[in-house]
Amino acid sequence: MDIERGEFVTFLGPSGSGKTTTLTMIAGFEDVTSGQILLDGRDLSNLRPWKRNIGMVFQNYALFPHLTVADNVAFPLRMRGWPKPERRQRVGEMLDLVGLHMFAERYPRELSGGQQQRVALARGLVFSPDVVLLDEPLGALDKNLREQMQIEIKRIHREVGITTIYVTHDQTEAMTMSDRIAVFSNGRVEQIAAPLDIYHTPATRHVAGFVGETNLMLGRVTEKEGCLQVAELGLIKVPPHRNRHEAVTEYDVIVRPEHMKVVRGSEACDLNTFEMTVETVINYGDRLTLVGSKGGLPIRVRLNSLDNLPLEGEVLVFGWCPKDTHLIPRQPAGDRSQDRSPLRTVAGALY
Amino acid sequence: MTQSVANGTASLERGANPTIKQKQQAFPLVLLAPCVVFLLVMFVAPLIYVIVLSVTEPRISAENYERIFASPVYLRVLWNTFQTALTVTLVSLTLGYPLAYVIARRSDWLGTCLLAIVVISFWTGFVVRTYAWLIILGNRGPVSNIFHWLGWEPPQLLFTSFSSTVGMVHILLPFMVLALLSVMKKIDALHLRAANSLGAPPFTAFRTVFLPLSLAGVVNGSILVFTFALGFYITPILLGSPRDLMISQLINQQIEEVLNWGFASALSIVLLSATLVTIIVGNKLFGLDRLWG
Repeated sequence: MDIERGEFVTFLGPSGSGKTTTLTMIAGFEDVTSGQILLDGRDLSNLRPWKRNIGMVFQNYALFPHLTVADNVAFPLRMRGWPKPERRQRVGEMLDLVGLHMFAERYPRELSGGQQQRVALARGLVFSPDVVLLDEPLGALDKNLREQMQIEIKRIHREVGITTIYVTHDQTEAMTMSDRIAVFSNGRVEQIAAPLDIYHTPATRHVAGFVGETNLMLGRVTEKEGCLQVAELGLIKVPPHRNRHEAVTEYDVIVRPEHMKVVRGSEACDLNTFEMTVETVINYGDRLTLVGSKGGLPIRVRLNSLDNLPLEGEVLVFGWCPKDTHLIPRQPAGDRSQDRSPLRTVAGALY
Repeated sequence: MTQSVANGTASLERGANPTIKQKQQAFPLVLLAPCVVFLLVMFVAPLIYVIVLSVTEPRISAENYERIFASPVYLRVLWNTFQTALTVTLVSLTLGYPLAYVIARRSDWLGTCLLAIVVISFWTGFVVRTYAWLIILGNRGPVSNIFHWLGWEPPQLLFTSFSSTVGMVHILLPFMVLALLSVMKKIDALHLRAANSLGAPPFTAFRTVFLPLSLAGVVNGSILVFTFALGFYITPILLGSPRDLMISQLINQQIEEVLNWGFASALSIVLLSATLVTIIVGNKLFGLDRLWG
């Protein structure tokens, strides 16, 4: 994995997937089990954490309770032997950046969660580290504040331009903030790509399931060109697959719920259609999700228009455009080696 | 325990009957009553009696207090008491801090073993532990044996202020360690990690983060040990030198040998006041536990 200077990369994955462990390794608190971590081409493994010049922001902020906001932010500068006047000026700049200059003399416990988070951010950035690591920094905040802080962090990143690695299990956070997302699962990086690529062309079933809602089916290769056999839906038309392997006989077929639509009368596009009973209607106010199942396969359909509101129990014809189908080749049994991409182990994460 | 159970039952019945609410408000007071009565009879009343004695025996005057502060003999006892208490506190802190640090930071066998030693020592009667020092430091004890073995004449160990201080440190060290531990356990290891990641090597992180955060424990433990040491009686009388009297020994002497109750009462009040002043000043100066405890 290579991360460019100034890039904002998110490690996304469920808890226990190894994203925090990787972060801890980059910070130097955990030994790298295999592989290397390079920073500007120099190996970090023999550098102790305090020599690495990497800023870290912890989930519970880890602000020093006995120091004021200004002293907390000044701490890394003090450790680097900055003279006092310069220290004060730099701390002032950082507090301006995070909008907390009027709180400089307060103690952390006198601040709200969001303010504490911003102090932690200022403290992690003040010494212009080569990289800043953010470990689920918004995990402890409520939803509104979290969205506000996402914008805030993104703005600060834009202004400061420090390479940022952000760990989260929240896909919305990852989507809205990152230049690229690395999706972790079981200690492996499943895919690293721009947010929209992750969403539209997930590399594995895991990624597809973890990022956004998804309809996942199993398609078998048939005689008929450009078609796959799905047990529950029958023959479906699929777009020509770029890297088709002769050996691959099965594909994971992925259709996002927003690409599914209700088919009323004739449609321009040559759709894959099926008939399904609507079991549940989930109303989000601005959109609807219809949940049903076809032959045991659960299917979710997102409707952005609230006209012709479908009713629960109604039987409707649904369909989607073949071009909106995303295919992931399934590795033939016995050929699992290919499953292990160059990004195979967490420890192999290259910086 | 009893109170919470009782409260639990009371709250279950809430709303069933309007009079229950009134009963419920009265209930904690009823539960407090035995304790309050006990303290009044066994503590407050005797204390008032002692205060009265100190200014009425042998006649109504402040002469007992004047005698304490006018005589160099008694001032020396007071000074000696404070000095010993201070030494005991500083030695306990010096020994206890690293011990508590290891116990707090290591959750493996080492921390558990050390904690077990501290707690077992804490539970062992202090008279027993004091007698143990009589043997260890005695004429045929292991310490003088080592001196003999090295071909040196053993110094006088027992019945000196040294042996008395050692004994008191031994008895009060667990209090210091437990007081330190209660604060150190609450210091999040993440703070040290944060300090490391911000450029502080381990010792600097300890000095700039752990030490200031543990100060509350240092103050609490020191006040605890100091006030205990001020009033210590058994250990100095068994191990100490008769020439280095501590105030509690003097009080005992005045009652048992001289039968001067008025003077003994005045000494007790001086000791009590000194203890109270220590606690109040300590709390005023370093009421740290309230700041971030």
